[in-house]
Amino acid sequence: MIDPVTEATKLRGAIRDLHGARLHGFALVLVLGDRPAAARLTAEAFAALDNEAPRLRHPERAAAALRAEVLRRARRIGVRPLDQSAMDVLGRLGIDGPTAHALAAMTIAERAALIASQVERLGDEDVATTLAVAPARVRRVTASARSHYLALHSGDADEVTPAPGSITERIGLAAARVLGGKAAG
Amino acid sequence: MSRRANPGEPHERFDAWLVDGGRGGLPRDIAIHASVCTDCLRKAAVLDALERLDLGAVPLPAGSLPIRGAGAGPNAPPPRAAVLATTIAAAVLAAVAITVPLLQGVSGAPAPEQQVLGATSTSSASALGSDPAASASADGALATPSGGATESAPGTPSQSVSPLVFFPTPTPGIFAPTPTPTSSSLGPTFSIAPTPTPTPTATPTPAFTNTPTPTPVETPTPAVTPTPTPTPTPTPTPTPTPTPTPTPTPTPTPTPDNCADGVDNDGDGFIDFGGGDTLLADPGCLLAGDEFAA
Repeated sequence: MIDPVTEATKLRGAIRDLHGARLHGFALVLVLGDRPAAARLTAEAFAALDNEAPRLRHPERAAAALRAEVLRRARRIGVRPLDQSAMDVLGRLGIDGPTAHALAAMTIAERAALIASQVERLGDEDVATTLAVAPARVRRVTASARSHYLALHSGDADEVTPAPGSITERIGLAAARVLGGKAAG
Repeated sequence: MSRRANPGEPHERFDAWLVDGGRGGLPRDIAIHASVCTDCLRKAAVLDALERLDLGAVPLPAGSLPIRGAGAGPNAPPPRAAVLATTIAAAVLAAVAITVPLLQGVSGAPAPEQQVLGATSTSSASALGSDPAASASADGALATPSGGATESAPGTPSQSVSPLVFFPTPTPGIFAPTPTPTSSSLGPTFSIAPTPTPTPTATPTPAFTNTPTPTPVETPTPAVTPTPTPTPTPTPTPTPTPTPTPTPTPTPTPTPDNCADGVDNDGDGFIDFGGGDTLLADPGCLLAGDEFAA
Protein backbone atom coordinates (compact mmCIF):
# COMPACT_ATOMS: atom_id res chain seq x y z
CA MET A 1 0.00 0.00 0.00
CA ILE A 2 1.38 3.35 -1.03
CA ASP A 3 1.38 5.98 1.63
CA PRO A 4 0.76 9.32 -0.05
CA VAL A 5 2.55 11.23 2.67
CA THR A 6 5.61 9.06 2.36
CA GLU A 7 5.54 9.37 -1.39
CA ALA A 8 5.30 13.13 -1.16
CA THR A 9 8.22 13.20 1.22
CA LYS A 10 10.25 11.08 -1.16
CA LEU A 11 9.34 13.36 -4.01
CA ARG A 12 10.44 16.38 -2.06
CA GLY A 13 13.71 14.70 -1.27
CA ALA A 14 14.23 13.80 -4.90
CA ILE A 15 13.53 17.35 -6.00
CA ARG A 16 16.03 18.65 -3.48
CA ASP A 17 18.66 16.22 -4.65
CA LEU A 18 17.97 17.04 -8.27
CA HIS A 19 17.77 20.79 -8.09
CA GLY A 20 19.49 21.75 -4.85
CA ALA A 21 23.03 22.37 -6.00
CA ARG A 22 22.22 24.20 -9.22
CA LEU A 23 19.48 26.22 -7.61
CA HIS A 24 21.98 27.27 -5.00
CA GLY A 25 24.37 28.28 -7.78
CA PHE A 26 21.61 30.26 -9.44
CA ALA A 27 20.93 32.01 -6.14
CA LEU A 28 24.64 32.66 -5.65
CA VAL A 29 24.83 34.49 -8.97
CA LEU A 30 21.74 36.52 -8.18
CA VAL A 31 23.09 37.67 -4.82
CA LEU A 32 26.63 37.95 -6.14
CA GLY A 33 28.37 35.33 -4.04
CA ASP A 34 26.63 35.96 -0.75
CA ARG A 35 26.60 32.40 0.53
CA PRO A 36 24.36 32.81 3.58
CA ALA A 37 21.80 34.69 1.53
CA ALA A 38 21.95 32.14 -1.26
CA ALA A 39 21.50 29.25 1.14
CA ARG A 40 18.55 30.94 2.75
CA LEU A 41 16.96 31.74 -0.58
CA THR A 42 17.39 28.17 -1.71
CA ALA A 43 15.87 26.75 1.44
CA GLU A 44 12.97 29.16 1.31
CA ALA A 45 12.31 28.35 -2.32
CA PHE A 46 12.09 24.65 -1.52
CA ALA A 47 9.85 25.35 1.44
CA ALA A 48 7.59 27.45 -0.75
CA LEU A 49 7.40 24.68 -3.29
CA ASP A 50 6.45 22.22 -0.60
CA ASN A 51 3.37 24.27 0.14
CA GLU A 52 2.15 24.13 -3.42
CA ALA A 53 1.02 20.67 -4.28
CA PRO A 54 0.23 21.38 -7.95
CA ARG A 55 3.82 22.22 -8.65
CA LEU A 56 4.94 19.02 -7.03
CA ARG A 57 2.74 17.13 -9.46
CA HIS A 58 4.84 18.48 -12.30
CA PRO A 59 8.44 18.02 -11.23
CA GLU A 60 9.65 18.94 -14.69
CA ARG A 61 8.35 22.43 -14.05
CA ALA A 62 9.96 22.59 -10.63
CA ALA A 63 13.21 24.09 -11.91
CA ALA A 64 11.51 27.22 -13.16
CA ALA A 65 9.21 27.45 -10.16
CA LEU A 66 12.14 27.21 -7.78
CA ARG A 67 14.11 29.85 -9.66
CA ALA A 68 11.10 32.11 -9.69
CA GLU A 69 10.88 31.82 -5.91
CA VAL A 70 14.57 32.55 -5.53
CA LEU A 71 14.33 35.59 -7.77
CA ARG A 72 11.23 36.90 -6.06
CA ARG A 73 12.81 36.64 -2.64
CA ALA A 74 16.20 37.92 -3.77
CA ARG A 75 14.56 41.07 -5.05
CA ARG A 76 13.24 41.71 -1.57
CA ILE A 77 16.43 41.19 0.39
CA GLY A 78 18.68 43.14 -1.91
CA VAL A 79 22.25 42.37 -2.90
CA ARG A 80 25.47 43.19 -1.14
CA PRO A 81 28.22 44.84 -3.13
CA LEU A 82 30.96 42.62 -4.44
CA ASP A 83 33.85 41.99 -2.10
CA GLN A 84 36.77 39.62 -2.20
CA SER A 85 35.01 36.77 -0.45
CA ALA A 86 32.11 37.05 -2.86
CA MET A 87 34.53 37.08 -5.77
CA ASP A 88 36.11 33.91 -4.42
CA VAL A 89 32.75 32.21 -4.22
CA LEU A 90 31.82 33.29 -7.73
CA GLY A 91 35.22 32.13 -8.89
CA ARG A 92 34.37 28.65 -7.73
CA LEU A 93 31.43 28.76 -10.09
CA GLY A 94 33.79 29.66 -12.92
CA ILE A 95 32.99 33.36 -12.97
CA ASP A 96 36.10 35.44 -13.52
CA GLY A 97 36.61 39.01 -12.41
CA PRO A 98 35.36 40.85 -15.52
CA THR A 99 32.33 38.62 -15.71
CA ALA A 100 31.60 39.16 -12.02
CA HIS A 101 31.79 42.91 -12.37
CA ALA A 102 29.60 42.85 -15.45
CA LEU A 103 27.04 40.75 -13.60
CA ALA A 104 27.21 43.08 -10.63
CA ALA A 105 26.42 46.05 -12.86
CA MET A 106 23.26 44.40 -14.11
CA THR A 107 19.92 44.35 -12.39
CA ILE A 108 18.96 41.23 -10.54
CA ALA A 109 16.27 40.47 -13.10
CA GLU A 110 18.78 40.81 -15.92
CA ARG A 111 21.12 38.44 -14.13
CA ALA A 112 18.30 35.97 -13.73
CA ALA A 113 17.37 36.24 -17.38
CA LEU A 114 20.95 35.82 -18.49
CA ILE A 115 21.67 32.84 -16.27
CA ALA A 116 18.39 31.08 -16.95
CA SER A 117 18.67 31.43 -20.71
CA GLN A 118 22.38 31.46 -21.41
CA VAL A 119 23.80 29.29 -18.65
CA GLU A 120 21.00 26.96 -17.69
CA ARG A 121 19.54 26.84 -21.18
CA LEU A 122 15.97 26.84 -19.94
CA GLY A 123 13.25 27.03 -22.54
CA ASP A 124 11.23 30.14 -23.14
CA GLU A 125 8.34 28.87 -21.06
CA ASP A 126 10.57 28.16 -18.08
CA VAL A 127 12.37 31.47 -18.46
CA ALA A 128 8.99 33.19 -18.49
CA THR A 129 8.08 31.38 -15.28
CA THR A 130 11.39 32.25 -13.71
CA LEU A 131 11.10 35.92 -14.56
CA ALA A 132 7.35 36.08 -13.99
CA VAL A 133 6.77 37.61 -17.41
CA ALA A 134 4.52 36.67 -20.26
CA PRO A 135 6.04 34.11 -22.64
CA ALA A 136 5.75 36.59 -25.47
CA ARG A 137 8.13 38.92 -23.68
CA VAL A 138 10.83 36.39 -22.95
CA ARG A 139 12.72 36.86 -26.16
CA ARG A 140 12.90 40.61 -25.74
CA VAL A 141 13.83 40.44 -22.07
CA THR A 142 16.60 37.92 -22.55
CA ALA A 143 17.95 39.81 -25.56
CA SER A 144 18.06 42.97 -23.51
CA ALA A 145 19.93 41.18 -20.75
CA ARG A 146 22.49 39.74 -23.17
CA SER A 147 22.97 43.10 -24.83
CA HIS A 148 23.55 44.81 -21.51
CA TYR A 149 25.93 42.11 -20.40
CA LEU A 150 27.93 42.35 -23.60
CA ALA A 151 28.12 46.12 -23.34
CA LEU A 152 29.34 45.87 -19.75
CA HIS A 153 31.78 43.06 -20.38
CA SER A 154 33.21 44.51 -23.55
CA GLY A 155 33.83 47.89 -22.03
CA ASP A 156 37.44 47.17 -21.14
CA ALA A 157 39.50 46.65 -24.24
CA ASP A 158 42.44 45.30 -22.23
CA GLU A 159 40.54 42.31 -20.99
CA VAL A 160 41.68 38.93 -22.05
CA THR A 161 39.33 37.42 -24.58
CA PRO A 162 37.70 34.30 -23.18
CA ALA A 163 38.27 30.97 -24.79
CA PRO A 164 35.96 30.21 -27.68
CA GLY A 165 32.90 28.09 -27.13
CA SER A 166 29.89 26.83 -28.96
CA ILE A 167 28.90 30.16 -30.51
CA THR A 168 32.37 30.74 -31.81
CA GLU A 169 32.43 27.26 -33.21
CA ARG A 170 29.15 27.85 -34.98
CA ILE A 171 30.57 30.97 -36.58
CA GLY A 172 33.64 29.12 -37.70
CA LEU A 173 31.69 26.21 -39.08
CA ALA A 174 29.27 28.48 -40.95
CA ALA A 175 32.14 30.48 -42.41
CA ALA A 176 34.00 27.33 -43.36
CA ARG A 177 30.95 25.99 -45.17
CA VAL A 178 30.64 29.22 -47.12
CA LEU A 179 34.27 29.39 -47.99
CA GLY A 180 34.47 25.65 -48.68
CA GLY A 181 31.44 25.85 -50.92
CA LYS A 182 33.00 28.72 -52.81
CA ALA A 183 36.28 26.86 -53.09
CA ALA A 184 34.46 23.77 -54.28
CA GLY A 185 32.43 25.76 -56.77
CA MET B 1 35.86 52.19 -31.75
CA SER B 2 32.59 53.73 -32.64
CA ARG B 3 30.55 52.10 -35.28
CA ARG B 4 27.48 53.59 -36.78
CA ALA B 5 24.42 51.51 -36.11
CA ASN B 6 23.05 50.31 -39.35
CA PRO B 7 20.71 47.36 -39.08
CA GLY B 8 21.54 46.35 -42.59
CA GLU B 9 25.23 45.95 -42.02
CA PRO B 10 26.59 42.51 -41.19
CA HIS B 11 28.08 43.70 -37.93
CA GLU B 12 24.77 44.96 -36.57
CA ARG B 13 22.99 41.91 -37.86
CA PHE B 14 25.49 39.71 -36.11
CA ASP B 15 24.94 41.63 -32.89
CA ALA B 16 21.21 41.17 -33.24
CA TRP B 17 21.64 37.47 -33.90
CA LEU B 18 23.96 37.10 -30.94
CA VAL B 19 21.80 38.88 -28.37
CA ASP B 20 18.81 36.94 -29.60
CA GLY B 21 20.51 33.83 -28.31
CA GLY B 22 21.76 32.60 -31.68
CA ARG B 23 18.33 31.43 -32.68
CA GLY B 24 18.16 29.99 -36.13
CA GLY B 25 20.97 29.55 -38.53
CA LEU B 26 23.70 32.08 -39.07
CA PRO B 27 23.36 33.75 -42.49
CA ARG B 28 26.31 33.24 -44.74
CA ASP B 29 27.34 36.85 -45.07
CA ILE B 30 27.16 37.36 -41.33
CA ALA B 31 29.20 34.23 -40.75
CA ILE B 32 31.88 35.45 -43.10
CA HIS B 33 31.94 38.84 -41.44
CA ALA B 34 31.99 37.49 -37.90
CA SER B 35 34.75 35.00 -38.62
CA VAL B 36 37.13 37.82 -39.38
CA CYS B 37 35.68 40.48 -37.04
CA THR B 38 37.64 40.66 -33.82
CA ASP B 39 34.86 42.47 -32.01
CA CYS B 40 32.28 39.91 -33.10
CA LEU B 41 34.45 36.99 -32.04
CA ARG B 42 35.11 38.64 -28.74
CA LYS B 43 31.43 39.08 -28.01
CA ALA B 44 30.75 35.51 -28.99
CA ALA B 45 33.51 34.34 -26.69
CA VAL B 46 32.13 36.41 -23.82
CA LEU B 47 28.78 34.69 -24.12
CA ASP B 48 30.51 31.36 -24.63
CA ALA B 49 32.21 31.81 -21.29
CA LEU B 50 28.83 31.70 -19.58
CA GLU B 51 28.24 28.21 -20.86
CA ARG B 52 31.21 26.98 -18.90
CA LEU B 53 29.90 28.12 -15.57
CA ASP B 54 29.32 25.29 -13.13
CA LEU B 55 26.42 26.36 -11.00
CA GLY B 56 26.64 23.24 -8.89
CA ALA B 57 30.26 23.73 -7.93
CA VAL B 58 29.55 25.35 -4.58
CA PRO B 59 27.84 22.88 -2.29
CA LEU B 60 24.98 23.88 -0.13
CA PRO B 61 25.73 24.29 3.54
CA ALA B 62 25.01 21.09 5.40
CA GLY B 63 21.52 20.85 6.75
CA SER B 64 20.22 23.85 4.87
CA LEU B 65 17.60 21.84 3.04
CA PRO B 66 15.64 19.93 5.64
CA ILE B 67 12.79 17.92 4.28
CA ARG B 68 9.66 18.81 6.07
CA GLY B 69 8.08 16.04 8.01
CA ALA B 70 4.98 14.13 7.21
CA GLY B 71 2.91 16.41 9.32
CA ALA B 72 3.97 19.44 7.35
CA GLY B 73 2.41 18.51 4.10
CA PRO B 74 1.01 20.79 1.47
CA ASN B 75 -2.02 21.45 3.60
CA ALA B 76 -0.07 22.44 6.66
CA PRO B 77 -0.80 25.94 7.88
CA PRO B 78 1.84 28.47 7.06
CA PRO B 79 4.21 29.31 9.87
CA ARG B 80 3.06 32.93 9.76
CA ALA B 81 -0.37 31.89 10.99
CA ALA B 82 1.14 29.94 13.83
CA VAL B 83 3.23 32.91 14.85
CA LEU B 84 0.19 35.18 14.73
CA ALA B 85 -1.86 32.80 16.82
CA THR B 86 0.88 32.50 19.38
CA THR B 87 1.27 36.25 19.51
CA ILE B 88 -2.44 36.73 20.15
CA ALA B 89 -2.37 34.11 22.85
CA ALA B 90 0.60 35.78 24.46
CA ALA B 91 -1.20 39.11 24.35
CA VAL B 92 -4.20 37.66 26.13
CA LEU B 93 -2.04 36.02 28.75
CA ALA B 94 -0.07 39.19 29.28
CA ALA B 95 -3.27 41.15 29.69
CA VAL B 96 -4.38 38.74 32.37
CA ALA B 97 -1.04 38.96 34.07
CA ILE B 98 -1.34 42.73 34.17
CA THR B 99 -4.97 42.96 35.13
CA VAL B 100 -4.97 40.66 38.13
CA PRO B 101 -2.26 42.49 40.08
CA LEU B 102 -3.93 45.74 39.12
CA LEU B 103 -7.20 44.63 40.62
CA GLN B 104 -5.46 43.34 43.70
CA GLY B 105 -3.66 46.55 44.35
CA VAL B 106 -6.50 49.04 43.98
CA SER B 107 -7.28 49.23 47.66
CA GLY B 108 -3.79 48.95 49.05
CA ALA B 109 -1.46 51.56 50.46
CA PRO B 110 1.14 53.08 48.16
CA ALA B 111 4.58 51.65 48.30
CA PRO B 112 7.02 53.62 46.17
CA GLU B 113 9.43 50.79 45.64
CA GLN B 114 6.69 48.66 44.13
CA GLN B 115 5.59 50.97 41.37
CA VAL B 116 7.04 48.74 38.71
CA LEU B 117 5.16 45.59 39.50
CA GLY B 118 7.73 44.49 41.99
CA ALA B 119 10.64 44.49 39.63
CA THR B 120 12.76 46.12 42.25
CA SER B 121 14.84 43.91 44.37
CA THR B 122 14.44 45.96 47.48
CA SER B 123 11.38 44.19 48.66
CA SER B 124 11.86 40.52 49.06
CA ALA B 125 8.17 39.81 49.05
CA SER B 126 7.04 42.17 46.35
CA ALA B 127 4.36 40.91 44.10
CA LEU B 128 5.78 39.31 41.01
CA GLY B 129 9.20 40.25 42.19
CA SER B 130 10.24 36.95 43.54
CA ASP B 131 10.32 35.37 40.15
CA PRO B 132 12.89 37.10 37.97
CA ALA B 133 11.40 35.76 34.78
CA ALA B 134 7.95 36.90 35.73
CA SER B 135 9.03 40.36 36.71
CA ALA B 136 11.02 40.78 33.55
CA SER B 137 8.13 39.73 31.41
CA ALA B 138 5.84 42.14 33.14
CA ASP B 139 8.28 44.94 32.52
CA GLY B 140 8.49 44.11 28.90
CA ALA B 141 4.77 43.98 28.52
CA LEU B 142 4.28 47.35 30.08
CA ALA B 143 7.26 48.93 28.40
CA THR B 144 7.73 51.19 31.34
CA PRO B 145 11.01 53.02 31.04
CA SER B 146 11.27 53.60 34.73
CA GLY B 147 10.30 50.09 35.47
CA GLY B 148 13.20 48.75 33.54
CA ALA B 149 15.66 50.72 35.60
CA THR B 150 16.04 47.96 38.05
CA GLU B 151 18.67 45.39 38.38
CA SER B 152 16.52 42.52 37.26
CA ALA B 153 15.12 44.05 34.11
CA PRO B 154 18.05 44.39 31.68
CA GLY B 155 19.12 41.32 29.85
CA THR B 156 16.05 39.37 30.70
CA PRO B 157 13.87 37.76 28.06
CA SER B 158 11.55 40.68 27.99
CA GLN B 159 11.99 41.03 24.24
CA SER B 160 9.70 38.14 23.66
CA VAL B 161 6.83 40.08 25.14
CA SER B 162 7.84 43.49 23.90
CA PRO B 163 5.44 43.46 20.91
CA LEU B 164 2.64 43.65 23.41
CA VAL B 165 3.22 47.23 24.24
CA PHE B 166 -0.30 48.36 23.59
CA PHE B 167 -0.99 48.54 27.28
CA PRO B 168 -0.96 52.04 28.68
CA THR B 169 2.02 52.99 30.70
CA PRO B 170 1.03 52.52 34.28
CA THR B 171 1.00 55.52 36.45
CA PRO B 172 2.48 55.11 39.86
CA GLY B 173 -0.89 55.56 41.44
CA ILE B 174 -2.24 52.47 39.80
CA PHE B 175 0.41 50.02 40.65
CA ALA B 176 1.78 51.55 43.78
CA PRO B 177 -0.98 50.78 46.22
CA THR B 178 -0.05 47.18 46.51
CA PRO B 179 0.37 46.69 50.22
CA THR B 180 3.36 45.05 51.64
CA PRO B 181 2.50 41.58 50.55
CA THR B 182 2.47 38.68 52.81
CA SER B 183 3.04 35.14 51.81
CA SER B 184 -0.67 34.59 51.53
CA SER B 185 -1.11 37.44 49.07
CA LEU B 186 1.43 35.94 46.74
CA GLY B 187 -0.70 32.97 45.96
CA PRO B 188 -2.78 34.18 43.05
CA THR B 189 0.07 36.23 41.68
CA PHE B 190 2.39 33.33 41.33
CA SER B 191 -0.19 31.25 39.67
CA ILE B 192 -0.29 33.81 36.87
CA ALA B 193 3.29 34.87 36.78
CA PRO B 194 4.54 32.16 34.41
CA THR B 195 2.02 33.10 31.78
CA PRO B 196 4.23 35.43 29.73
CA THR B 197 6.89 32.79 29.40
CA PRO B 198 5.17 30.78 26.64
CA THR B 199 6.08 33.50 24.18
CA PRO B 200 9.64 32.28 23.59
CA THR B 201 8.19 29.09 22.23
CA ALA B 202 6.75 31.09 19.37
CA THR B 203 10.14 31.85 17.96
CA PRO B 204 10.70 29.15 15.37
CA THR B 205 14.41 29.69 15.20
CA PRO B 206 16.33 26.54 15.87
CA ALA B 207 18.70 28.53 18.02
CA PHE B 208 16.10 28.85 20.70
CA THR B 209 17.52 27.44 23.83
CA ASN B 210 16.59 28.16 27.31
CA THR B 211 19.75 26.66 28.60
CA PRO B 212 21.48 29.25 30.69
CA THR B 213 24.92 28.29 29.49
CA PRO B 214 26.22 31.12 27.35
CA THR B 215 27.25 28.86 24.51
CA PRO B 216 27.63 30.92 21.35
CA VAL B 217 24.78 30.23 18.99
CA GLU B 218 25.52 30.42 15.30
CA THR B 219 22.57 32.60 14.47
CA PRO B 220 21.70 34.46 17.60
CA THR B 221 18.30 35.91 17.69
CA PRO B 222 17.48 38.90 19.81
CA ALA B 223 14.97 36.89 21.76
CA VAL B 224 17.54 34.43 22.89
CA THR B 225 20.87 36.11 23.29
CA PRO B 226 20.08 38.44 26.13
CA THR B 227 19.16 35.64 28.44
CA PRO B 228 21.70 35.93 31.17
CA THR B 229 22.86 33.14 33.29
CA PRO B 230 20.28 32.93 35.96
CA THR B 231 22.33 33.87 38.92
CA PRO B 232 20.79 32.82 42.11
CA THR B 233 18.64 35.60 43.35
CA PRO B 234 18.50 36.31 47.04
CA THR B 235 14.86 35.36 47.09
CA PRO B 236 14.39 31.75 46.07
CA THR B 237 11.66 31.26 43.56
CA PRO B 238 8.73 29.53 45.17
CA THR B 239 7.75 27.93 41.91
CA PRO B 240 10.16 26.27 39.55
CA THR B 241 10.74 28.25 36.41
CA PRO B 242 8.82 26.75 33.49
CA THR B 243 11.90 26.36 31.36
CA PRO B 244 12.00 22.94 29.79
CA THR B 245 15.66 22.45 30.47
CA PRO B 246 17.03 22.23 33.94
CA THR B 247 18.37 25.53 35.05
CA PRO B 248 20.85 26.07 37.79
CA THR B 249 18.48 28.34 39.58
CA PRO B 250 18.38 27.31 43.19
CA THR B 251 15.51 25.04 43.78
CA PRO B 252 13.31 26.29 46.55
CA THR B 253 14.21 24.57 49.70
CA PRO B 254 11.01 23.69 51.41
CA THR B 255 10.80 25.37 54.74
CA PRO B 256 9.78 22.83 57.37
CA ASP B 257 6.33 23.24 58.71
CA ASN B 258 6.65 24.52 62.21
CA CYS B 259 3.61 22.49 63.12
CA ALA B 260 5.32 19.28 62.16
CA ASP B 261 8.91 19.74 63.19
CA GLY B 262 8.59 18.43 66.70
CA VAL B 263 9.81 21.71 68.15
CA ASP B 264 8.02 24.17 70.34
CA ASN B 265 8.75 27.05 68.00
CA ASP B 266 6.87 29.77 69.83
CA GLY B 267 7.86 28.60 73.29
CA ASP B 268 4.36 28.43 74.65
CA GLY B 269 4.70 24.95 75.98
CA PHE B 270 2.72 23.35 73.16
CA ILE B 271 4.00 21.62 70.12
CA ASP B 272 2.77 20.86 66.61
CA PHE B 273 -0.60 19.49 65.67
CA GLY B 274 -0.63 16.45 67.82
CA GLY B 275 1.74 17.54 70.51
CA GLY B 276 4.85 15.68 71.40
CA ASP B 277 5.41 12.89 73.79
CA THR B 278 5.11 15.15 76.75
CA LEU B 279 3.47 18.29 75.41
CA LEU B 280 0.01 19.13 74.19
CA ALA B 281 -0.93 20.21 70.70
CA ASP B 282 -0.17 23.83 69.94
CA PRO B 283 -3.42 25.77 69.53
CA GLY B 284 -1.83 27.85 66.82
CA CYS B 285 -1.43 24.76 64.74
CA LEU B 286 -4.95 23.65 65.41
CA LEU B 287 -6.46 27.03 64.51
CA ALA B 288 -4.26 28.47 61.81
CA GLY B 289 -1.64 25.86 60.97
CA ASP B 290 1.12 28.01 62.48
CA GLU B 291 2.52 27.72 65.95
CA PHE B 292 3.04 31.43 66.10
CA ALA B 293 -0.57 32.17 65.31
CA ALA B 294 -1.81 31.60 68.81
